[in-house]
Amino acid sequence: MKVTKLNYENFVIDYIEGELEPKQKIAFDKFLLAHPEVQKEINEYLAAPILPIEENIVYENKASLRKRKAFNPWIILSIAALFLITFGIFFFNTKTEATSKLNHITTEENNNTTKYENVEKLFEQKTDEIDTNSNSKNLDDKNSKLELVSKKETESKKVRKHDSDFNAGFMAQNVEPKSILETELPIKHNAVSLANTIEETNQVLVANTEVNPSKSIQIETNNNTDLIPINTISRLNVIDQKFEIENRAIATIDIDFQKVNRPITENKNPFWDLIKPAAYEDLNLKDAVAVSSKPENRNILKTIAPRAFTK
Amino acid sequence: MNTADYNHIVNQVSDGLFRYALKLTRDTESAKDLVQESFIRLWTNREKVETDFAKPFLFKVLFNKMIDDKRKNKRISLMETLPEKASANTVFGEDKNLIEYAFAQLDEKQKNIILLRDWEGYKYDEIAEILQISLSLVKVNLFRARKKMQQIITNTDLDAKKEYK
Repeated sequence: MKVTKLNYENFVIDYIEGELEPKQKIAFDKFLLAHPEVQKEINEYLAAPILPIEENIVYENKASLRKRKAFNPWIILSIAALFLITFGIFFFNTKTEATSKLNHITTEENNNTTKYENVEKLFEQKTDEIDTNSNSKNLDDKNSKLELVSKKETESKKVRKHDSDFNAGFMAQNVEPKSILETELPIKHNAVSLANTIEETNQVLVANTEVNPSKSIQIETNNNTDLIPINTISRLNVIDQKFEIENRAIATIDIDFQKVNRPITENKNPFWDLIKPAAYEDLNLKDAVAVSSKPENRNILKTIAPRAFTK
Repeated sequence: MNTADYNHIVNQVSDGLFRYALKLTRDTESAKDLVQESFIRLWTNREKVETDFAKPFLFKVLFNKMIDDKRKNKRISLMETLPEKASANTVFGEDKNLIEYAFAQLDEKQKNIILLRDWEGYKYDEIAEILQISLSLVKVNLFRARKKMQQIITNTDLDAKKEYK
C-alpha cells in the first residue's frame, strides 16, 4: 500500500487510533514526514471538541410510544373453547332431562286425553242412540219427551260416574288426598268464597276454573281434572294471576305443569312464594294439592288450592 | 423482540433519537413526527428486528425518513442554513455556542457522523450501517468534519464569534 496525498484520508483515523498494521504504519509515517501539512490536519482533528450532548432535550411522549402487553390469542381461544364445551355439556344435560320429563308428562296426558275422548264418544254415541230411538217413537208425545230427557240424564250420570272413576284412578296414581270436594260447588266462585269453601269443608278443591275479567272464579264441571300433589311440582313457568284474600287462601291460574312429578325443595321453587304467604311459614305445604286441567285446553285454567291453608 | 423489549427500547432510545432528529431538523414537530414514525416502523418489524439491533434500526429508519422528507422539501429546510443560531437553553460553557456554530457549518453527512459518534457512541461500522455508506467513507468524513470544526473554531475572528453569540 502506498500512502499518497489522494488516499491518506482513508488511513488517517486508523493511524491515529493505532489500528494500522506495522507495514502500513511505517508507510504512513514516511508520508507524514514528506507532508507536514497533514500532520497539522491530524493535530486539528485531535484538538477538535466533542459535540456536547444536550441532555436537557427529552422526548416527552414516551407513553404514546409504549405498547400494552397483548394477550396470547391461543390462550384466549383456549379459554373460550373450554367455556363453550362446559356450557354445551351443561345445556345438553339440562335439555335432555327436561325433554325426558316432558315426554313422560306428555305421554300421560295423551293417555288421559284418549280416555276422556273415549268417554265423550261414548256419551255422544249414547245420545245418538237415544235420538234415533226417539225419532222412531213419535216424538210428539210429551211423555215420550220427558222419558227421553230422563234417559239422557241417566246416560249423562253414567258418563260422569265413569269420568269420576277415571279421575279417582288418576289421582290414585299420583296422590291420595284425604277428601275431595267434587260436587255441589256453586257456579260462581270468587276468591273469597273459594277460600271460605276450602276452610269450611277442610277439603281439597278439585275443579276446573275460569277467570272472568272481574277476577271472580267460575267453577265449571269437574271433568277433565287432574290432581297433582303440590310437592311434586318443581317449576311453574307461567302464573298469570294470583288471588290472596286475607292470607287465607290462594288461587293461582294458568300454571305450566311440565315439570310435575319432579322432586323439589322449597328453597329453590319460586312458586312457594305465591302459595305460601308469610303468615303461613309454619305450615307443611307437602300436604297441599294442586289441581289442573288438560294443558291443551287453554280456556280451562288451573287452580291451586293448598289444603294446608284450610287448617 | 417482545412487547417488554420494545417498551424498554422506547425508554432507552427515544430521548437520544429525538435529540438526533431535532439537531438535524431544528424543528420540534418534525423531530417528534420522525421519532414516532421510527418507532412505528420498529413495532411493525418487531418480529424481524433483534433487540440488540433495535437502536441502530431506529436511527437508520429516522435518517432515511429524514432524507426522504428533505427530498420532498416538506419538512427540513434548515439543514444548509448558515449561520446556525444556538438555542438559549443550550449554554454549557463559553465554548458551547462556538462548537454549535462550527457544527452547523458541516454538511449533512458530516453532521450525521458527528452526532452518531459523539452523542450515541456508535462504532464506525455501525455508523456505516445506519447511514448506508462504506466504512472508509465514515472515517474520511469524520476526519474531515472534526478537522473542519476545529479550523472554524480557531479561525473564526472575534467579531464573528461575538455576532454569533
